[in-house]
Amino acid sequence: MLKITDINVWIKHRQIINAVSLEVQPGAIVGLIGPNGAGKTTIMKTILGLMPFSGTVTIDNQSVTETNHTGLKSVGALIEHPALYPFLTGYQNLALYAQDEADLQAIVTQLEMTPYINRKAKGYSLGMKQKLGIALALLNHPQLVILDEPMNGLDIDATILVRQIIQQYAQQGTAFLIASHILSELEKVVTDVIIINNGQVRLNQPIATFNQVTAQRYRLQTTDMAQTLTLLTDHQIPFEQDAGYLNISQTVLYTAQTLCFDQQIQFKALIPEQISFEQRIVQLLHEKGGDEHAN
Amino acid sequence: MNMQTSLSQEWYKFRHQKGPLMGILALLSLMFIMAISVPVTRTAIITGFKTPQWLLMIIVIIGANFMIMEDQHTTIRTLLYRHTYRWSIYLAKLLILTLYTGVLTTLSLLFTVLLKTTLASQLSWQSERLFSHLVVGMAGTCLVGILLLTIILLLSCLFPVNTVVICLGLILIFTGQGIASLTIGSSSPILVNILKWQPLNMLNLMAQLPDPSYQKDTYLSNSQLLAGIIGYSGFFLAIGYWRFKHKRV
Repeated sequence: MLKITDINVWIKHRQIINAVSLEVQPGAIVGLIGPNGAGKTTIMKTILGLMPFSGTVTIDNQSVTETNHTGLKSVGALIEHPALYPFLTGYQNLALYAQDEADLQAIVTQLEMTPYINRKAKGYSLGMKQKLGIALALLNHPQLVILDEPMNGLDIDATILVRQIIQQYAQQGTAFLIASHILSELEKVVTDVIIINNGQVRLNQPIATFNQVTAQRYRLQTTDMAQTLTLLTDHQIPFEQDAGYLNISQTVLYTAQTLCFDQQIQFKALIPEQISFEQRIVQLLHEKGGDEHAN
Repeated sequence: MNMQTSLSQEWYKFRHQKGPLMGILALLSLMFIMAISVPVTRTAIITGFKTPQWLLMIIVIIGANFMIMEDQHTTIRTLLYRHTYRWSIYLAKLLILTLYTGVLTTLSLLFTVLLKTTLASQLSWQSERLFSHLVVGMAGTCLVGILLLTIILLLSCLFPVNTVVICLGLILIFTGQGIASLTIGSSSPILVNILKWQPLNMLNLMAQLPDPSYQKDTYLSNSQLLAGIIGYSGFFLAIGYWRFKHKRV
């Protein structure tokens, strides 16, 4: 579907994107994650042929350049802010680009915009504008949809609705590239994760692989906590005490297990400390040379 | 998207704005005020009750807004990525604005006829080729309007702030002909041969077509002015498009 190979983007002699390569398959929902200024929006604009770049961008084997957008015929996008004409109604904003009236009506109904679709867009709330921006991106059955912060300004109901619609379109084969700082929402929909920082791809994995992270620490409870504590101290195994548990690192877990077994002490509880999607992202950004935090 | 789609989209946006209709109403109102506030003379009729001045002001305002609204509302990104080639957008905008200029010119011509018939029926259309002078004057205004549009679109790409572009456009309208006459008139004969081809001098076409006496100030014949207008329109269109093609959004 989308294939980016070794793209570099320079703005005023400063390199914003550095040798980025990635692929998005049909039906995939790829989360593009990174701190502010990492280059997410620039990558999206580059795919849309809005930036000068070196390297190649192809969509369905059709090359996209800054001057030739033939490959973008089946692409919808929402970049930064919804691009709306305030003097047109919501319906007219959609009609401007719609190729099929029935598709337009279906999107309006799906996104529950019927009550206000015939009002001028200048009177819309932030959430209404955002929904209209998403509707514009979903027009004409796109094969690839690029969404930059799609959940901005949406209330809980609308967020859930948009999430469901994204999944529904993806099931029908539409590929999504989504950048969002709301990691909890992103985690619920993405099939792949791409972490970007300082204009470079730091990690590119399916979400299933990303979530298979070995727990770094374990919470331990034994049949004889006092003797276990002595054993760990004597053998200089670092630990922390916490609410009746001993917290130890995964690297010394087997040593502790052997020591306890030799002293006929049994494990009563061994609980891996799971880290959240958000914590893992922050951790990765720190590990891989990021100076800033993911919001 | 092809040129036809670009034209239809630009027309859709243009006709849903209030500005163009307000422009027409303003032009006709100003002509009416001019017609009733001073005696209706032959000169007033030939100039369409100051049509050139009002018409050019209106197309500067409408043209600048029509181009710069895309930057103001950030719709330029959608516009650019949804179109295969950028030239179709630029050309479609210019064609729609040219059509609008044509409509304004035609309406002002018809309204001048109506005002003359109502307020100065004693003047004959045949007298001193009154009607033909009016028509060629209007045609000249329309051509100057098209030249001005190519300049406005170029300025809109250079300075995407409508107040800046409108101010520059109005300065051009009010001082352009004067600056041209001043620079040419105060120059040596050798320099005159060069300076007479400056773009500002081409604005005199609308005055010279109905009144050939202007030729002593412009140093160019009607056909030379016409060729200059066409040439400069092409030139400003080309560099305006070049700037638009390399526009960062």
